[in-house]
Amino acid sequence: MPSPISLDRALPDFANANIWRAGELASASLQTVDTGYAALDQVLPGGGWPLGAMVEVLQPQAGLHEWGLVAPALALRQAASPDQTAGRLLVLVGPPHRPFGPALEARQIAMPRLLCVQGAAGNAPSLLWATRESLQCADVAAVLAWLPDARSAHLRRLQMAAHTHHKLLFVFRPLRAQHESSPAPLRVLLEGTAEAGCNLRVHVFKRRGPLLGAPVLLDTRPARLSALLGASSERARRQREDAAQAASPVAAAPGFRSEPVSPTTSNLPDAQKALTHALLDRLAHVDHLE
Amino acid sequence: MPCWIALHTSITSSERGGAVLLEGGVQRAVAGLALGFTPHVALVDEVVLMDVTGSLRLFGGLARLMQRLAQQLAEFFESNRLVANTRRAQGATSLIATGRLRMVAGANQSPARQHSGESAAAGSMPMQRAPDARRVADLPMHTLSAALPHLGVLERIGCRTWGDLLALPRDGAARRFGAGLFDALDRARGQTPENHDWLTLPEQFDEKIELDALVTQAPALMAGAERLLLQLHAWLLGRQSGLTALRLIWHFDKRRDVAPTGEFDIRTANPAQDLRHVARLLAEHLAQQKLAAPVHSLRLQSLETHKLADSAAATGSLLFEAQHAGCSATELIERLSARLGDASVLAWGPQADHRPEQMQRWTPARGRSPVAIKSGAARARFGWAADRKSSKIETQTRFERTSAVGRSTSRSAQSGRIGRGDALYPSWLLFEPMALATFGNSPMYQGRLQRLAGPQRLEATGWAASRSDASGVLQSPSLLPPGHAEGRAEGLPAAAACAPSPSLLLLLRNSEKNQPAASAVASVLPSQAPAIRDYFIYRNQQGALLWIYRERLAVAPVATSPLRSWYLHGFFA
Repeated sequence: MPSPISLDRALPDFANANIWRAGELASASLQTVDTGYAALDQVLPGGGWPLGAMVEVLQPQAGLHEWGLVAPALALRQAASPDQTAGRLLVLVGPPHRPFGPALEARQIAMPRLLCVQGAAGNAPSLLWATRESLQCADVAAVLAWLPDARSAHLRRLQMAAHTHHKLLFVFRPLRAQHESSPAPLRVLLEGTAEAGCNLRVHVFKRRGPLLGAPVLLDTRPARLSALLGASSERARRQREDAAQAASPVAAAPGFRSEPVSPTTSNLPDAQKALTHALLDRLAHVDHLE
Repeated sequence: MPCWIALHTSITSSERGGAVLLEGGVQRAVAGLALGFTPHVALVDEVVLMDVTGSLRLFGGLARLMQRLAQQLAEFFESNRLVANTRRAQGATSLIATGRLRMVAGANQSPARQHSGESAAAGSMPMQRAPDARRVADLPMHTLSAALPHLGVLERIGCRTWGDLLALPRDGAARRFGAGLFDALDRARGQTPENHDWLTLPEQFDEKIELDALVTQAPALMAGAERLLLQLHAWLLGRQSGLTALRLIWHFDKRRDVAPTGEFDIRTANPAQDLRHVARLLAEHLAQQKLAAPVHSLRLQSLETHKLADSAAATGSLLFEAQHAGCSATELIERLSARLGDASVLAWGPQADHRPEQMQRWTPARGRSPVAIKSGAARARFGWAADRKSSKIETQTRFERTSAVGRSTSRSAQSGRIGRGDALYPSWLLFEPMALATFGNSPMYQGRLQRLAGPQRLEATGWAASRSDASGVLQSPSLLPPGHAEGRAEGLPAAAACAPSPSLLLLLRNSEKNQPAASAVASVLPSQAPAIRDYFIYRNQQGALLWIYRERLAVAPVATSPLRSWYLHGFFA
């Protein structure tokens, strides 16, 4: 009984990465774009979004989380060196709302090279046609398409076009497409969460590799926004604390402060502190109550 | 040493969908191409004759000229999806060239272009000898047009080649056969000068064809239009121009209440000799066109053409990948606009304004200069052409223009623009702010919302009007006089900065103390009341972040509408 030898040694020609075994993550034969999130890079085959393949993103409602997910990769793609013949145009087909320039520029997306294509009213095949035409253009770097009414047969043609022209293609569909079969080699489901430090839960439920057990948690908000929200929540917490302290007869330590505050309030007794805070918070509360 | 080339082309087959062309059309097309090499082109019988004596020096010799001619013919027919068989022959005079061509055709030699008819002239031209090369004197009689009426008699008296005819006593034969035969021989030998009707191309292309049958559906007009486009292509090649605008006119059957013709124009941004892109635009327009009556004939007119410095430069760079990588951005935009309408394909433009919906402007991408959507590929494409041809002025200026603009756009991108990015704005902005229902005092959007970040105030006039029409009065932010803002306390100065860049510290302090973060009071028309918006960040039950504002109008537009209402303006994606 000959000892089993590994496939690589037995067939040395097959030792390169052109063979994908079903239990492994396909890696070196794919050309990928870095997603910008380390946790997501680890679970995607090839370590990033695949070039020349369709990435299907399912979400309950269009317009909630897309930019956070794809903006770092798009910025990388658009900043590709001008020596290559692949251009830097970014095409949005059928977006649910208008992209807002200043916010996207903060994510390093070049807005002058963004093209927004609205389909003809009530005409879903026109969106598919526009997507396919954009994929065939040499100057396009990536295409984002919102196709709520597309069927799998139509998506197959998009997948082939993306493969032929080696482009980055994201297709956004509603949640009900989860149970249909699809030709996309990578399918991802997005969910927002309110957990600490993360705002997006990403389920990769189809990829070239073994099934992913747990969803990936990402924080896709820009750093300034996270800082703002953190500061606001800190302030809200402090207000609740102060309100609780004002209700109870325990006197607060006069020097206890955690943020810089005008020195006039720190020496007042509690009741006046509460009143001052109420004065300072007047606008929000007054509007709130009226 | 005079040098003539004779060409004959026959269409052996055309692929399904290719243009259908009659013999005369092919000949004219080839003549148009030949005009790119020499101004002296004539159509004689079935042959296209070119006098290339003056062009040999420019093109670097006969062999190179023949090679370029063959290449251009191949490209032309391939771009129109036709398979054509071209025979060439060369001679010292036009009749010699014609004779050799016909001899080749008659002898059924292999139609390979390298070996057709290139036999040596009478000792003076250094040509390679074909296997059964003949001297001019050995050309058979049937290749001379003037001898065709007398072919039978000449056969019977033993005159089978041109040499035999020359050997006949001249005066007797002239009396017998007429002077025309010997005139032709003299012309063939170069002893009398030849003159032909040189072919000239008209200034404007204007061709009309009759369709084979009445056409009722507009997309079926495409077949006829393709024939016209083929002729237009040949005309452009002959005039060394590129096309930027053309007009297609169709003529209806006579009906009482229908105008006699219908037409539309097609315009492209880049002058084109290769008409594939124009053909696709034409197909798109025809697909959406409705015909009021059956059409019996079509007419194509060229409206605007531009001279191209070098036709080779017009078709692209030397790089194979650059040539065949697909269309360019401008072509994509034109195609999308043709089918979906100009208003559906939009490009971005920034505006200096503190109101969020006025900070950007989406305009139809087609009307914008190609500079705005220029890519590195186009620059590379023109860069090759400019390096190759230093004397081609047009290509050079185009390259300079694009490279200069490319440099300036990249410089401007690095040096900062109006409204440079700010991460505290939402990534999506709704087309129109959406009014929200309220539960108690907080807004509701698919469930209850939780407020995360405090108010940021934006104040301007013209908002009540600007919601219906986007062109609000341009506001210029100015310094806020100290006592003006509502709800201030403690003498803290209000921020004079524009809303586009509130600092984080400022927002923190303001969210603690609820000062207005940025107020800009405009110099206004006194009739418009100021509108005040407080923007908040809310989180909904699915974890998404919403940008919601509360509007406080100083004067209610309608008596019963509330003065304060909540609107959803954007999503933080």
